[in-house]
This record gives sequence, structure tokens and C-alpha cells, in this order.
Amino acid sequence: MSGSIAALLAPALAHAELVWNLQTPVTPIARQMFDLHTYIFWVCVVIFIGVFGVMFYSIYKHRKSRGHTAAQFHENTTVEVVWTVIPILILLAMAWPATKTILALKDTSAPDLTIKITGYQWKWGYNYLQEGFGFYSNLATPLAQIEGREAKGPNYLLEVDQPLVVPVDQRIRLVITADDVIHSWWVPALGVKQDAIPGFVRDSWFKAEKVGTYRGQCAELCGKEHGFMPIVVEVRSKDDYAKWVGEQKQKAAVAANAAK
Amino acid sequence: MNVSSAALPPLPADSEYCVVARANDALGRRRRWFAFGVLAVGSLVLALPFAVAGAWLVLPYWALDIGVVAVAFAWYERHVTDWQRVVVVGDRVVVDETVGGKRQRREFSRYWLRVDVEPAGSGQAPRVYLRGGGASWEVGQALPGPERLAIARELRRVTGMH
Amino acid sequence: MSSIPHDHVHGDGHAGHAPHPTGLMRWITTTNHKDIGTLYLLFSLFMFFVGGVLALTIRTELFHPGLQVVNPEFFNSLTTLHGLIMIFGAIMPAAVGFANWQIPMMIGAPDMAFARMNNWSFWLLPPAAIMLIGSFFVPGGAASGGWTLYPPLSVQGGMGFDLTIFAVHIMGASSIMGSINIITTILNMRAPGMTLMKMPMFVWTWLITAYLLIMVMPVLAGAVTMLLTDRHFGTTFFNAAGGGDPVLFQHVFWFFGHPEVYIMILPSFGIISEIIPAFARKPLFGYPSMVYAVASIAILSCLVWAHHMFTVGLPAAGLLFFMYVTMLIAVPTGVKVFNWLATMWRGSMTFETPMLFAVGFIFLFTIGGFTGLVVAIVPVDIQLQDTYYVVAHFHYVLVAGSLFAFFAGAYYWLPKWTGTMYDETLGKWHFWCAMITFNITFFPMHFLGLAGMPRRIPDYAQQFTDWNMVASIGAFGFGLSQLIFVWVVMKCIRGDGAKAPAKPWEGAHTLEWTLPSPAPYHSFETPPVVK
Repeated sequence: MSGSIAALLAPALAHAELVWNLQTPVTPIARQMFDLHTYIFWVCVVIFIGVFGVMFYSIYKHRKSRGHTAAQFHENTTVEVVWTVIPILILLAMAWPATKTILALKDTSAPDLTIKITGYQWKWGYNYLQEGFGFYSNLATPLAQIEGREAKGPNYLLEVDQPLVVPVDQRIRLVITADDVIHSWWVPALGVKQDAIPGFVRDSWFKAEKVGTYRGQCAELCGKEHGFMPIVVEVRSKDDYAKWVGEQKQKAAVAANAAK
Repeated sequence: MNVSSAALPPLPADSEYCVVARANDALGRRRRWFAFGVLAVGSLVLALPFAVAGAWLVLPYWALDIGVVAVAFAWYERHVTDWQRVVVVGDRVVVDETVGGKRQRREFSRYWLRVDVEPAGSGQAPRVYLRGGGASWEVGQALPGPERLAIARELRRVTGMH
Repeated sequence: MSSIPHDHVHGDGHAGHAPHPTGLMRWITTTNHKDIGTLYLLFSLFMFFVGGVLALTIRTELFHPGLQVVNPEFFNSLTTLHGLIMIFGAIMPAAVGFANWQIPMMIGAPDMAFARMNNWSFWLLPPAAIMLIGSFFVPGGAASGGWTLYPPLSVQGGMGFDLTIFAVHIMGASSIMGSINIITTILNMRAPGMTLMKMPMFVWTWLITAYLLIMVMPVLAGAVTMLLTDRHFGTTFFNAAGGGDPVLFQHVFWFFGHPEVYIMILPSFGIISEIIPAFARKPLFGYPSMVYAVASIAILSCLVWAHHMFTVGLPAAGLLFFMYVTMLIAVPTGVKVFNWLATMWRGSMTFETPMLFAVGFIFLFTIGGFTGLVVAIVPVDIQLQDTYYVVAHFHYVLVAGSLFAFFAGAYYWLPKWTGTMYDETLGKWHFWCAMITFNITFFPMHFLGLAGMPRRIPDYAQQFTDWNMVASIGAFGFGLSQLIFVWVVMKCIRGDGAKAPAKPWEGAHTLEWTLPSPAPYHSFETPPVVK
């Protein structure tokens, strides 16, 4: 019995690190989102402690078993005006920075690079519009891992055969659409989540400030393999990216010749 | 509330027993239709932009919805003024009533009156009928079951029928 | 209707006390508001367990990464039907059940205005429920596009999806009939002297809820009909290839869906506003501002629908508008919470089970309110939209909100309904078990969402394992806790407990407590005069 419980809890023990918070941001927008969340979280915590401090004090002090007799007041205009106006002021203090971020994240002008993203059931297609090549990106996790016949790898369900590759420190504009149903392209570290809507094109942008691999998932229910169409973005240095583009162009040319 | 006795015929001074059943109209006609108007216009204002945006199938459902509400309100309006009065005076038992705006009066002989109670059916309250001289008239339709029985009992007591 | 003079001596020698028909036929043909209220409440309790079983199947699958118990298609049906059943089968009927039992008693009316229609509006629900549950067994399985039924995904579904649309239509019709009855009853049948501003808060919240329901139901009916014609009759309302727009459905759906959220919470506000003053032995603080707060929440709820759609690519102006209006809802909601606290302040409180659930409601609903504020902020919502954070948020407001308030109301009024006091010890056990396991289940979901776990996925990356295990264990605990409630209710129905006095709660002042317990078959034969 204890053995089976230990087996059940094994994954829990294997991951000593618990996830608590938003992923580490690597774009200016994602960092603003992270900071906004932290800011609002603490404002809420302070209000929460204040309000429920009062409630629990009252619960402790004003109970019948302590012999407290009930007062009979039932209105107080001053108090009511105060607790209507103060929340409005707090909300204004929250809305202001949020507004600035919204305007920044909706500004998709002046891109260095434009990539078209298409959602399919159940994979992502990437097209480098200026360079003139493209490819599909499929889940790379083997079925055996999903069905529990093999040990799960470190990037279980978050790995693809061919990731999206982008250069660091460049404004990348994404034009996003879908082929069949609605999907949503989401990479938390980049601060981008944009629904992919069949028949319509939406856009978004990011500027990654750090080389690395960033993972995300489809965020809009799109059918039975909704949970199995991850997104992997590799942010490379300018030179690495240029080299990679060269290889891709070559591959595309070979493929085009083969087709002839 | 407007329980004024203006709508009722004057009560004979020598009545031995009188029972009046009427609703308490808490809202009144004007405010009732104002409440309906808020609903109808409000929901239309909400539905129209969607119809304009291409989802025009919202409109037939709006019409159906508000139509049903209108029927319900109209039915209530028609019956909110309903009243019924049973008076025992001298040798007569007089039933006056207005149902849906239609005024009626039935008179029975006190000595030939039979008070019949049809027991409650499934989910239905019991019914009380006054019968006599070939006529039959139901009383207390608008009242809950126990009150109908109370009226039947009182009438039997007053008219000496056991 | 009332008779003047009246006679309260019951038990006529000849005809006897109004003999109610018994057995199944009584329940099928009944037009009595109390019978119908009971039917609604029992139906919703049953559906609560059906939806609960679906939820526990979901949590079993999610206990571990990998696919163990169900396949992904069936998993999607589970989440879809869990949502639909809990919203349309459990929460809404429970709210209508409370309305049926309490509104006539609280305003001093003998029954609902349209007794026959009341019967119909209940009996539409079981066929709808059979359609929903039965859709699991048709070819293609139950609807699997999420309870939100977004096209084009929902257009791909099989026959189960059509059954879902019909079920939604029927339940919508039932809601409309129920609302008409409630509006007509409240507006017209109040006892002499009970002006609108003297009505109990529960009645007020239901009046506003019924207005909202009638206003938004045509939108839902239109939306699902358009889905149906898109599926079968070649229309292209939501198909871009034919000139339609899939996002239009989302606008229409959430235009219904957001007020629906408040339809589910406003009656709960009403219940809490009855219970807090009763157990604080102090009048409700700021009654007029409570009424205005509910009304403004209702109006604002019609203007915020697109906050469910911050990632569809709305223009910046749209994002700003919907963010501001959504944030504004925090003001009237805050007023309500502050008023409840002010009602408790310097009261003389006792903590029987209804009060425990009411305090638990305020505590957890406020957490749900705060997370609601967090997701109202567009940039933050872009990270949290369609993640477990949202799942945590709406379970805090719907389970710890609506459901806890209904438990509070059930314990509060069970003595009146059944004539028997509930078992206080069991009630307290129920509260503490539910309170603790609820938080074990749903609090970790905030972390999962923040860390990036999308909702509606049958399998997940390994860093999400720990919190999912905790949530699954909590979920089973929460499910089992509800059996205590069933036990308590059964005991009351069987009369196993102390006999309830007419007014078991010292601080309760509304009209229903002037009636004997259990309440007589018809509430007020003569309208009481409210001073």
C-alpha cells in the first residue's frame, strides 16, 4: 500500500520546484504584463487583509457568546460614499499603467520581420513572408510517452519537430490565422496570446531580448488534440539566425527543384 | 394596494354573511405596463445591434419572448380586477362577480341551496359549487383550497344545511 | 387572492382538510409553488451530482500527466457537459427553486401568479436533462466544443451537439416562463403595505435577475439557432467562407453569457443578504444602496461581454472600453461586501451552519472577485485567458459563490420547508469539509494558470504535476463532502430531528417566519399587512 502511494507521488517528489507564478518574461511587453500582475496582486492582498481583518475582528468580538448585544444602526451616508469613492480611485490607479501597456501591445507597426502563423487541427504552420519559405511544426513527443509506456522526457508535450526560429532584439510581427477552427497562439515568456481565426487575419508582435528556447501551447479549444499542439520558439543571435535562414532557403530550393 | 369598494355593488344592510374575494393589486395598471415597457424596449435595444451585425435570428426570439411576456401581463391585467362576493341576505344567497371584466349575478334560494364540495384532484384544489333551483355556480375559484373549504363550511352553517 | 372575512378554522367535518393527491401524479400535476420549488431543488441536487461525477472523471484523468482514463475526445465532452450541466442543470434550477419556495412566502402571496405555467416550466427541465446526459450515448458522443459552443469547432460536432442545442433551447424556454412568473408575482402580488423598497433583498435580487433573464435569453436562443442552421441548412452566419464571422458568435454568446454569470450570482447575493442580518441580529446595513448596487451590477453586466474575448484581436479602443467597464463592476460589488461587513459589525453574532456558509461565501467570493479584477486587466488577461487561472476564478465565484450561498439558504430555510431542524453537527461538518476541500481543489489552479497550463487539456507538461495532484485529491474530498449535505436533507425530509418552531432563528424578520413550520400548503390565505 505505502509502496503504491509512493509510486503515485513519485512525480511530485521528482519536481522539488513548485510552479507559482508567471513565467520569466523575455520581451518588454511580457515584462510589463508580469509587473502589472505583481502590482495588482499586492494591491489586492493589502485590501484583502484590511477587509478581512475587520471581518474577523468583528467575528471574534461581536458574537453573542461573548455577550455582545447588537447595535441597531443600518445606514451611514458618509461611510457609504467613502467606500464607493476609494475603490474608484484604486481602480484608476490600476487602469492607468494597464492602458499604457495595451496601447504598446496593439502597436504592430515597423516590424523587422513578418511571420505568418496558421493554426491547423492539430499543428502550426509558419511562413517567413520576406524570405519566402515555410514549414509545419508538429508535436514531437512520442505516443509511447503519452500512453505511459515510456518514461516522459523533460519537455514532455512541449517539444516540436521544427520550432519557429527568430532573431534576438528584433521586432517580429506575427500575422495569425487558422485553416479550420479557432486556435490560439500563446507563448507566455514572449507575452503573446492571439486567437487564430479561420478566414480572418489578426496580428501581434514581440521583441525577444534574450537568446533561448521558449515554449507555449494552443490556448483555444480546437478539438481532440487541442492539448497536443505545442509551440516552440527558438530565439537565436543575429548570425545564427542568418545561417539558419540560409539553410532553410537552400532546403526550399531543393524541394522546389524536386517538385519540378 | 387598491382595495376600494367602489367597484362593488352596495352591500344590503341586513346581510347575515358576506365574503368577498379579490386580489391585492400591488402595482396598479399604469406601473404594470411601465414595467413591461422597460422589459420590451430594454431587450430590443440589446437585441438590435446584434441583428444589425448579422445575427438577425435574435429578433424572432425577441418577438416570441416579449410576446409571451405581453400575453402573461395582459392575462394578469384582465383578471386583476376580478372579484367575487357571496352574500346571504333574507331568504336569498346572492353571488356577484366580475371575471375578466364580465359582470354576473346569480341568486339562489337560501332554503334550497346545496353546497357541494368536489374533493381535490391530483395537483388541483377542491372546488366548491352552489346548487339550487336547477342552477349551479362555482365559488372561490381564485382562492387557495383551504379557503374554499372554509367558505363552503360557513355557507352551510349560515344556511342551516348540515 | 384573499377573502374577507376569513376563517382560519381548518378541518371541515364534511370535506376534510384539503386532501393533496399523493404519489407520482401529485408531483407531475402539481401547481403549488412549494411542490414546484421542491422539485426544482431536488432536480438541481441530482444534476449537481451528475455534473460532479463528470468533474471527478476529469480530475482523475488529470491526476497524472499522460492519458490514463479517458481519450481526448471524451475528455472534451466531459468538460463541455460538466459546464452545461452545472450551469443550466444545477445552479439555475436551484436558484429558481429558492424563488418558488421563498418569493410567495416573503411577499405575502398565496402562490405564484401563473401556477400552471410554473408546473410547465419545471417539467421542461427533465427532458432537457435527458437530452444532455443521453447525448453521451449517441453516435459521435456528446458535444465536445466546450460549454461556450464556439464555431467552427462546434459545427464539426456530431448529433450530440444538436441534442445540446435543443436542450439549451428547452432550458431557455423554461427559464423565460419561470422569469415571467417571478416578475408577475413580485410586481403584482405583494401584500398590502409591502412597497418595492420594503421587499426582502432576496426578492429584489430575483426581480432583477428575472428581468436580466428575459432580456438576454432571446440572444442565446438566436445564437444557438444560428449554429443549428449553419450546421444543417447551409447558412453561413459564423462561417468566413460564406461571408460570416466566427467571432460574431462569441459576441452574441458572451452577450448572453456574461449577464448569465450575474443571473447565477444575484440570487445568491439575495440569500446572503437575508442570512447575515438574521445571525448578526441587526438590520441589513444600507438596504437602499444594496438595491442600487444589484441594479447597477445588472446594467453593467450587459456592457462587459467582450472581456471574455480579450485575445480575439479587438481594436485597442474596444479593449480599453471593456476593461474600464469591467473594472467598474468592482465598485457595486465592493459596496455589497462592505455592507455585509457593516451588518456584521457590532452585531450579536452566532454561527449556525447558514451563517458559516454565508461568511465562507463572503470570504471566498471576495477572492474570486479579486481574481476577476486581475483578469479584467487586459495585459494580464492575455497571459491568463484560457488557463487554469480562469478556471480557478470562476469556480471561486460559482462554487464558493453561488453554491455556498445555496447551501447557506438551504440550511436557513430547511426548518421552514420540512418542519424539522437540520442536524447542526452534521451541518458544521459539511461546512468545514466543503470549505477546506474546496480550497485544496481550486486554490492551486491559480498557480497552474499563472505558470501557463491551458484549460481544457487532457494531458499536461510535467511541471504542472504537483498542483494537479493536489487539486484532484481536493476534488474527491469536495465531492464526498457533499454526501453529508444529502444526509442532512434526508434526515430533515424524514422528520428525523427536533421539530422546528415557526421562527427558529432569533434574528429573522421576513414574512415567511410568521407562517408555521412546515409552511402550510398555500402560504398566505389572507395577505399580511406590512407596516
